[in-house]
Amino acid sequence: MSKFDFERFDASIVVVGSLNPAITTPDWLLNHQLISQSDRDSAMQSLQALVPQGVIAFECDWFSLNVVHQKFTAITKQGSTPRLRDLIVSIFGLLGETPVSAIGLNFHADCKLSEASDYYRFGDALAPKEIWHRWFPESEFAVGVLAQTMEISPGPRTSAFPVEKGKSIQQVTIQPSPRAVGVVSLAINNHIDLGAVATGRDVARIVSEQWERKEEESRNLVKHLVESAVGGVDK
Amino acid sequence: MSMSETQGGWSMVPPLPIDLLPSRDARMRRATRLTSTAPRVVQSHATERPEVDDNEGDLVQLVGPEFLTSSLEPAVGQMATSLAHPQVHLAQVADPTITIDGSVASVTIARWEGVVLDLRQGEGVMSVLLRSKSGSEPDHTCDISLKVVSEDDGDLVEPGAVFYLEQTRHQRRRTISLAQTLSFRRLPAWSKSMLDSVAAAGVEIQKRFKAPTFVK
Repeated sequence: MSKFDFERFDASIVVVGSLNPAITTPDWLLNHQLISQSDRDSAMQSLQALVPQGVIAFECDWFSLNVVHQKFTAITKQGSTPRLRDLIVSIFGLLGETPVSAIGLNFHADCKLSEASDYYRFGDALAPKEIWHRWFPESEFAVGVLAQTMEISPGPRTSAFPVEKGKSIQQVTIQPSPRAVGVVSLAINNHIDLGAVATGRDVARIVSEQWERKEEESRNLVKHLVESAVGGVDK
Repeated sequence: MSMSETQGGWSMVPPLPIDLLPSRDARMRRATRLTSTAPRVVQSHATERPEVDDNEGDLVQLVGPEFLTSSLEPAVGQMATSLAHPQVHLAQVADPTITIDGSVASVTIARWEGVVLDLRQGEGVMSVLLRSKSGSEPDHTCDISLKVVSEDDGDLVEPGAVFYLEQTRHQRRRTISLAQTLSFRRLPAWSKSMLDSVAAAGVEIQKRFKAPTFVK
């Protein structure tokens, strides 16, 4: 039996570019049949639009959307769903000429560890305490992890410095969940750098091609990290 | 391009270090402290209401919206990030932020992608092909009552339409509920420019596949 359970697995898609927040209103989405009438109605109730400042934010039952400055963020609220992918593919298919520079296909998991000892094990696997306890004696101090971010880029590590990053990089941030004790949050950022000449059509294509695979990979990565950490460190 | 720009969009409040579970007294003190020092988000109608669930002896929850900001970096858009820094001012967060109900956690535990094969309005059912997206079940066909289709999706139901059938577990404190959602795939309505574009592509293809002329 697995030593942990997913309590939350949500998705977000972030697009960085020269966006026009005034376009992506609930009515615009409804007019293009991208959301339902009831989604539009609930979105209008939460709408925060400061068009002169270039900001629009709203949410409906299953997603939230925020376009601020040069960043577009859409987030699921009731678990990761391909409806988010369809929404983004459709929006950026319609905004095909919009200049964009990067995409983030992101996933966020909360995992409940079944035992307190597993929780300790997980933190110890992330950050071994030996070097800390040489300075802060274990009998006098408790040392714990508040957050840890790992960056993964393709290709082996070399002695070159600074490290040359590829166009597709992952960052995994692990923190205690704010929701409950004994729950760890893992945020996976699949960053795709599009360079200087990409447009909304590229976003639509890449999200359409990659989102489902990234979702599965991210879910499996979380399982691997938690199960390896909890099962792989003897205390 | 900074990578952190595409992170998003959850902010997290690390309440306690991983691998350091505190005593109940300490948790109670912390909950009180969060209540008294919780900052507000500028230009947001939401305020956070940290509270301790009386039914949960060992659970401190931050009930109410979480603040979603541009990254997970602790300095942006968060409440106190640790007991050592109880006051993180949010005045610099000048943009309205999306809020979500942080007290509910949802995870999709099963998903099928379906295609409508046949619509039998008289019987009130649609015949569908279901393809599991979360397991190794073989594809199978079945009939689904039209009663489970949302009124909003009614005009999308036709042979060939794609839908998602998802089973989701929602957890609010210790209450767990399972929900099945059937939602039809939404794609943009065809605009004149899109139709023109397709027509132009069709003409181009037709030219390329033009039957060869044989000369004797």
